[in-house]
Amino acid sequence: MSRRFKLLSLLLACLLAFGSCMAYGEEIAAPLAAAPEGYIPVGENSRFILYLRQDTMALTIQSKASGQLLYSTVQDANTGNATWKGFYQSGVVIEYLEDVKDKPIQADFINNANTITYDFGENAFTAHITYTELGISFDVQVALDEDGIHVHLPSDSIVETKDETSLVMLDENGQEVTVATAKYTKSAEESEFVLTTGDGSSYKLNKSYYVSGKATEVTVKDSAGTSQVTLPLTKELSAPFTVYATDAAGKAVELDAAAIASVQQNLFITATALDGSQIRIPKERFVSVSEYSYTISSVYLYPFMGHSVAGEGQGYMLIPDGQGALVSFEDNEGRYSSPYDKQVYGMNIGVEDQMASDTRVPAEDVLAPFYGMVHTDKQIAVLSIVEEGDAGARIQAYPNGVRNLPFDWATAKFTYRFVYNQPMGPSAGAVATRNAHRRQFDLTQHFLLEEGQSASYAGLAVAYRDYLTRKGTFAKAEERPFDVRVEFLGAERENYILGKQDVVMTTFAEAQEMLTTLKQAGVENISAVYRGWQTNGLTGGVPTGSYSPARSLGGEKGFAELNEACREMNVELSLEADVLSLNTETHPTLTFSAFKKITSQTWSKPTFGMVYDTLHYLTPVASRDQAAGLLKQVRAAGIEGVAFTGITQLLADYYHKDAYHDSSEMAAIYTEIIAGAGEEMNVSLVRPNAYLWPLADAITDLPIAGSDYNYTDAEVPFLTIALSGQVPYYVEYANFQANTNEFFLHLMEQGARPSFLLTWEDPIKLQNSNSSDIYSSRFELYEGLIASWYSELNALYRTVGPDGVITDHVRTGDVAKVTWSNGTQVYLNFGDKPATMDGITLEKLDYKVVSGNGN
Amino acid sequence: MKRIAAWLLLLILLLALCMPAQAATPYRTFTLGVDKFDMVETQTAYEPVRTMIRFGEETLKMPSDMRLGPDGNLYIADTGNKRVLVITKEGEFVREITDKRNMKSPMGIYVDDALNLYVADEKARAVLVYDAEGNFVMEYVKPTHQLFGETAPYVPQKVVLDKRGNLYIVSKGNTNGVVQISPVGGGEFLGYYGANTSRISVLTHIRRFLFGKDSAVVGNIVPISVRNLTIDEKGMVYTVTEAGDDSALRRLNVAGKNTMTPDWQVDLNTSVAVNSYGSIFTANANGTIMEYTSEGDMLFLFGANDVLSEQRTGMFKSVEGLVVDDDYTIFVLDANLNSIQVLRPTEFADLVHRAFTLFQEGKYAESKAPWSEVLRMNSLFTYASTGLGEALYREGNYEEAMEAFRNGGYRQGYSDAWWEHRSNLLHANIDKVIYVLVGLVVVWQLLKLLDRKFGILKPLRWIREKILSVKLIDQVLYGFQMLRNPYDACYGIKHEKRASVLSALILLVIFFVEFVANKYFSGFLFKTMPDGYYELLNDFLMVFGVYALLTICCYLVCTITDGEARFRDLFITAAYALMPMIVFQPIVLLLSNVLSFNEEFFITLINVVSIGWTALLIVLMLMYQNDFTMKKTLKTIVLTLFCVLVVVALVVVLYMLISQLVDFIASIYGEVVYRFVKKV
Repeated sequence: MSRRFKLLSLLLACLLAFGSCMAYGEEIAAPLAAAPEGYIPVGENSRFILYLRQDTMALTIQSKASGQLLYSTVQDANTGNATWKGFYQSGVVIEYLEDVKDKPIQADFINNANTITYDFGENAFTAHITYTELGISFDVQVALDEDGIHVHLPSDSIVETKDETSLVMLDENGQEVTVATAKYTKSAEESEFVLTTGDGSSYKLNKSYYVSGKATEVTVKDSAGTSQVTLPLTKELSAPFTVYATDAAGKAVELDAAAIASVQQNLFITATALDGSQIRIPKERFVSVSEYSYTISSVYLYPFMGHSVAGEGQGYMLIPDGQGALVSFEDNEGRYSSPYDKQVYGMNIGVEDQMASDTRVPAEDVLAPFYGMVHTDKQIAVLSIVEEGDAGARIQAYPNGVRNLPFDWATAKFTYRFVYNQPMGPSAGAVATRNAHRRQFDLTQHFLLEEGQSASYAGLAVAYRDYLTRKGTFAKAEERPFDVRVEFLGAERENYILGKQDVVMTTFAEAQEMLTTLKQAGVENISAVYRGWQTNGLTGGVPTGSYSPARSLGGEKGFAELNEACREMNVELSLEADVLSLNTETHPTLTFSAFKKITSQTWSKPTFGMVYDTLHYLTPVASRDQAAGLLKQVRAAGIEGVAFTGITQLLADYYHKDAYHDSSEMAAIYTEIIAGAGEEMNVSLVRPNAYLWPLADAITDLPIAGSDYNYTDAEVPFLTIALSGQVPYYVEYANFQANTNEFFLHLMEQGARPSFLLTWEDPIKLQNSNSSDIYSSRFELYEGLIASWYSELNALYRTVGPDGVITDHVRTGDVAKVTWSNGTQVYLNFGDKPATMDGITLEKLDYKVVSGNGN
Repeated sequence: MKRIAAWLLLLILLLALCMPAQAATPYRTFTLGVDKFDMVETQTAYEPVRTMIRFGEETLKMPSDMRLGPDGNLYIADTGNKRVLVITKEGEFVREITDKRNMKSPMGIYVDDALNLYVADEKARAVLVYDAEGNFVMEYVKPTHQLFGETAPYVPQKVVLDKRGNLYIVSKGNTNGVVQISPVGGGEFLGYYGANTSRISVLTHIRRFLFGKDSAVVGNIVPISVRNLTIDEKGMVYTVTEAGDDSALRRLNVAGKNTMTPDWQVDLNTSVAVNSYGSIFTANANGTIMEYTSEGDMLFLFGANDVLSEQRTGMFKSVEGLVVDDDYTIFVLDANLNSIQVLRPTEFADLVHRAFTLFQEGKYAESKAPWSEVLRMNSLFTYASTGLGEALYREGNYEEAMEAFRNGGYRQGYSDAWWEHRSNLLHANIDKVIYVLVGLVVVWQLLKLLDRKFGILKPLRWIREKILSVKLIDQVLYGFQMLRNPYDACYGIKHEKRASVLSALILLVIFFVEFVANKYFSGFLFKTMPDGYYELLNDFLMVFGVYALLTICCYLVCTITDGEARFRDLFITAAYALMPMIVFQPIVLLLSNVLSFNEEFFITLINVVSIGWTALLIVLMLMYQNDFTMKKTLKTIVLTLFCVLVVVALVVVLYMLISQLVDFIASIYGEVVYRFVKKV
């Protein structure tokens, strides 16, 4: 693009922006462009009009104020191969699995035969989609409400041919003929056939039964693999045969014309579907109960919503890396080769294999399922939130140039079925397998639309906050004055001559002394957490299934005293509860409750520590039992706070009691555990996945930065803006930061509360324990820092007031400006040279607070 | 100590997964732990800043080398594009040097002070020289000097220049060393420089002996050739090789002699850089970057391999060039990603560098403050502990210095501080010691006097006799007879039943306890086990297993060599032969806790004497019990050792067979479960 053109487009953008402001000011709707060609209007709210193109389900959104358009598909389809063209021109794209092949195949509205029928309502429509050749159909409901577009795919609308189990037999020529299909009812458990043989004995055929072999005999087996009946096939049957089919009432049922050939009458079996219809076929001719081979693997809902064409627009993508990161629309000219692609809420360890940990730090997990597209030139932006189905979603973002596509686009990919490797033995390799069960969840994606000044990451963050507030996400969290979080590390274990011994880092009495010292130093508000308080310490004492404070730290009596002292000092004291990790060395009885991958292998992770080699996880059910035991005793002991870790960060599919469970079941149990605790106690959650936010009194250990992807242009405090003023949030430990000053500036920027990991003893004592990674925590060395940070951050909180929320955030180069709701502005310079912004000069690594009234 | 396996060790030894989050940086940073035995994690020392892929309109194609020019620009050998690209440190295009006629495959470059450019061209088989304007000046082709060797390959890969203008050229496949050429007379061959020596292992020696020198089994014993090199302001040449041994990083003086042995190396090194502070950086192909001090102490290890193609700054696929400027900004050239990644030091690294500079200048007192600050940020940072220790030692604060040296794992320093502290203690307390000694003597004499007059020690004597009359105790104490008169003792055991199997076992247990105590509770200076490691089961097997194996094998051998010894006699006497060690081990343990390195001799002496004595007793015991001649005894010992070898080999084979069987059964089980049971 030539520089002149760039200038011109910039000018145009400015004009348009100006125009839109005018329009708002004068409350005169700008003249709307005519509906885009091929589209029909289907809805309208106070700000936008929604158009639909019926053949591809494509949506286009038009701003009433500016007339600007936001597309959900690519308009000018001339790049990429046919598959890509189908992908970026279709509103909804699926991937399906064929037969036993293990690679998902794409199906879209361009390349695959389909029918879409629409039911239109007020500002909404439902599309009934059928991929005719694949036999897959489902409904997608689209509605435009005041803040954006709501797209919903109900799980129970999905019909796969897999649900239509058929009886197949051979005709005279030996060709397979489908004699009947029986549609399963929705629940997998209820779908079954009853096989009745000619001698009157009947066998249930449900999912765990299967029938195999068609050469000389048919064998019916139960789920244990035991043969129930073997039906010999006569090799040569020349006589004509007939298929008799009767329904429950005994009336004849019409069958497939091809199937109503001739059947030998005296040899038959009857298949009864649950709806009562019965089919009687000769057992000699019975071949198999087969499942049609196409099953749905994954779904994309409007993957190109709000995309940008390389070199044609200005703006950026917002990806959920760390707190949020921006990827510019600028033409990358093929610089990047692979997309951002992360499972929401972290790796699904039940399916994916973890890479052995080495010197690498894994990329940040997606804490909240959002992504956005901001067109700064058109002043229109969309924030996509995965409202339902988040447990099965991945967020993918493709900067232009990746896979040779000249578009910036981001999407959520919902996976219904995995292909995974089933190992056959310790050294016998693995077989690629796919899960027969479809994961059960509805999909809902909410596209929040913003325009004008709000079309920025800060505007989207504010919109996200409003959205969360409306949904009641922060109903539980109460307002809490600014405080610092200190986490004490009690005990660890180290090897000793015979067995192991405690490494005492902080006794309960020492913790009390630290709190007193901090109070005296002017740190008025503190919330305290005790880690490694339990018998066998931090790594040895997991899961924390009972209230047993380590005797070496002062025992139950010591903790009671600390608890009492905290109450007097007005410090909120919480016990850390890890009901996920399992140390089988110290808890051998729980070995059989270990979390299993869907391959039914027990999952474990190496700790690379000196004392305990591996840790396991508990199954959700076992976690629930452990939590129940702990919470009952903790409540009885009069402790008011609990800090959950572990279960707050995991979401995975798993295998339990001979059955497959998907991650939404795990989410349900974890929700139950934490909600149960929250009824009577203060609950803080360590780096919790977004679905748990409604249960939190406080959120801790938020990441301060992202993963440093090459293609990200800036990291922005999207999450903290969204959480600001709604729930107390604390960021990761200050201890292990290499750039202490810069870290402090980030606290200032985000209005975040700091956390410190403290020990009374020098952490050098931990070097032969599993916590040898804690290399800096001695209270003596941190007490001054805590007090000074507290006073500076507390001053900021006083300035912005108790109800303060961040309303805007701008970053230019190394300088950032944060605006709070009462007009207070915080200027920060992250660079190592002095800088100026809005006439305010900042030294290197410096900040200035300008309060709302100009001071 | 060899560090080849060290990298693996690192993987095994390090750190929990519940790692405190270090956001942003895609790699962990490590430094050497106590005893340089393993690594400990530390704060990020260098953080990724940006990735440079495009320079104006230009991109790279399989680049091979990068240097920092005196003009502050980066010079890149852009091999795939057959040119040299010059860019600023910010990634702006400056110029390119192309030469269609001569430049075919630029692999290595060097820029001299006058901005003349030297290009090692692999395909042109020459080092090409260009002036500051990029005009071709001349080329250095294969030397014709007879010392170069007619068949020696001349395939220039890398090149550097010293102040006198001599060229040091790495030639591919030439294992004689770096080719040194003088500019005089258009390129006079000066000789080979700094060749790596080939190391021949014991195994190779055995193979050579068995199969002859030229056999394929013997393998390649050609010395490893230099992969890359650089030169510092003083003219020291730094070379790296892909081997993970002592040749991995070397600093060569003018004569080509190595003047530095780094304390930790990794393999596959591809590049090396030095800045004007003398800090040395190496990078290997997988993206592991290491910083060494000018003394070769490894300070930081970081960087990660981008195996998942995550495209995060700080992850590498194939590092080919490394530049570090005087701000400690690191530029990493990646041939696979065709990019230059920029890393910059964190506040922590700056602090460490500041402390180190002061320390190396001998300003120990001034370095105390920064070292303390480093320790505040990281208690496990051993260099800081050592540095602080030195400062404290010079202040005369020996006790704290000892603790600091202990934390830093610096034994010599600890020994010195302990020596001083101990002599202070002695000085301060010598009078008390004398009083106590005198007091003890007086009390003893008094007691003796009283005993003579009134027999007050009579009950004690009675108790002593009672105890001694217990048969087992008498049998155990008979061990001392072994020290006084071994023949007598052997006779007593064999014929007079002065010892029993039980008493022998008791002696063995005592020996085991002493062995364990010595292994784990020796003073810091003399302890060989790293802290926190206990392997009691191993120790148990080691002592009792070896004892059982040896005695059984020996008995078996004795039976076929017509020895008279019964198994019982062998078993018992062998335990009694350990008496010298049983007696002396506690003394060693005691001394190890009070001696400094200056008096190490005492411990060595005691060890030699006790082990020698025990060995002698065993020989004598065998001779006596079997009624052997000396010659026959020695023969028996050799046969016994051979027998042990056979037994061990048998056990290993058996173990392997069983584990394979177990594996096989497990596989069948897995298959069965998959095929017939599990249908998810």
